[in-house]
Amino acid sequence: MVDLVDSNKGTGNVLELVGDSRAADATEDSFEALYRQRYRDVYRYALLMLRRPDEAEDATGEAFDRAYRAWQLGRKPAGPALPWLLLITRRLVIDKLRRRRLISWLPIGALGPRREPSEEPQTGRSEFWIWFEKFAQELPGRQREVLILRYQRDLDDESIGEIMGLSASGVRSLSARACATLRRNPEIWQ
Amino acid sequence: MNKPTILPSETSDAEMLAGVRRHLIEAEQFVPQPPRWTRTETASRVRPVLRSRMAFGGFAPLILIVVVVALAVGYYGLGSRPAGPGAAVPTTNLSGSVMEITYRLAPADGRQPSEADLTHVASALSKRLSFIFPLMVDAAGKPAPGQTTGYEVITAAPDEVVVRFQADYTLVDYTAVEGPLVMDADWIRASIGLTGVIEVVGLPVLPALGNLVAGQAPLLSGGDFDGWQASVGAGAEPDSYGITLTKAAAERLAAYALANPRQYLVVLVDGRVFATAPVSGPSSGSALTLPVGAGLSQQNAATLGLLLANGSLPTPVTEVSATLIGPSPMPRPSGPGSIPTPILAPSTSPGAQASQYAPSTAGATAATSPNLSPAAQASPTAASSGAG
Repeated sequence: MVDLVDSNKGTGNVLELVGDSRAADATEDSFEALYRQRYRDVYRYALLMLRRPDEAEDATGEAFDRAYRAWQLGRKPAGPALPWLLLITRRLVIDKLRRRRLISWLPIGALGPRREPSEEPQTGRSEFWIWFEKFAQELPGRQREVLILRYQRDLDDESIGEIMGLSASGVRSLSARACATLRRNPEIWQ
Repeated sequence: MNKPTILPSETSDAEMLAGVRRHLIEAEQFVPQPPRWTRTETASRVRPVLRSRMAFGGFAPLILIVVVVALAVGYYGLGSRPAGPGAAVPTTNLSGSVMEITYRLAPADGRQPSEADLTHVASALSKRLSFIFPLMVDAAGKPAPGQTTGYEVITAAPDEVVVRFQADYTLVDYTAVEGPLVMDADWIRASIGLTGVIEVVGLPVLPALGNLVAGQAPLLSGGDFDGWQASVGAGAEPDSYGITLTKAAAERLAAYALANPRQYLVVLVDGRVFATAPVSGPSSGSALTLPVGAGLSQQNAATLGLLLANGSLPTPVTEVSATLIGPSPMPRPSGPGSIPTPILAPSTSPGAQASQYAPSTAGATAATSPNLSPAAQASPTAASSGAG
């Protein structure tokens, strides 16, 4: 049986997985703080990588679920928590991209990036996604990812490298190539 | 004393990155506030993944159920259904714009196809269409009801199979994160009728896509292929697709790459060039990686995925007719004979079909590959610049 969901007896946030309830509370408190602090960072990364709000929400929820399990087992991040969370999220994002079927069908007239129907009227949203499509069209995946991560709370090269499985010099090299691409496409950054 | 040269001002990296940052900040409006943290609520947003929580033993009941259902269907269902004219696999209610393609089975060994041959081909075509159509969604993005909506395959004795499918939907490839890729009824037409014999050969010169390459002993063929994987977006640069190989095939490919560093790996489908990739160096992986670009179009990548996932047709077929029935939502003239030529049409000559798979005994590539483009034969260097 799939047991992703812990029992909830109406008290809102009581978890019963850990034998020692005091330890559980302490873990819960500190992880909850991390969750509140970093949820938007993780969601933003997942959204920009997947470009689908529903999948971004899935990935974010699953990332925190995995992080929580690791946290409970004592496998907390040695350094800052954000790269650790983004590394977990990145694996889920890649997994989702790979699992995503090669093909999907849309009726004629609905071509273009998939959008939530309720989001159509929001002009700002459309403008951003139109820009992002162009951004994604010109920058290859990893160059794009480096720029996205760099503006995730100003992550440094080492942290980005930790997330992407690269050395710091590899990150700088990717950044330089991204800059070269941007220079050829001024409409992206102007 | 020399005066300092004044260079035209060039935008600094910082300025460009600041511009990108300004745009990226606009994404904030789509980032929601964190929902209240409880594992229950957070995890309930996660779609359960059985694989991650179940050992192989957990699949035993599922496997048993699948076997029982398969036996029941085989005994009471499709297996007892007559395969003559009018037998559909499966039956669907098509509406709107429908494309109807009639295929004729090629005579095998001088004999007419049997009823069993017809059924096998119909099943294979049905399998390919079921691979394409389950993800059909309506205008609101909701999956279409039922997994077999959108197509039907009918056998027409003595030697024809009629395929009908919904033509008013367009295929959009979202794994190509660089933008939506449009593949439509013409793509289906060009893809599903291919026999689907996939081979990989090594050539010293770069052939043009679509050319017939005959007489080359394949480096890799059917049993060597293990699957198909897309590596797009986050994990690869540039986007690429990989044909995963068996261990023995991967070792063979590695040995070939080591010995032939300047050659081209050419993926043939039914003897025609479908994708190319230069041998870039020693190979150590377990997949033949094909970067998307000049050597592999997204359309052909999708077709390769379709063929690798569903196998080849048991008997080659030729397209007898293709008709668009009903209203055409696309700017395309309707009626027989007016549909554009497929990307790669299946061979229409049974003789050619047979000869192109004849094993090669000797001979230089240029001699055994008469359909290589003249430019490629004359100037391998110039031709190679367009690869991958």
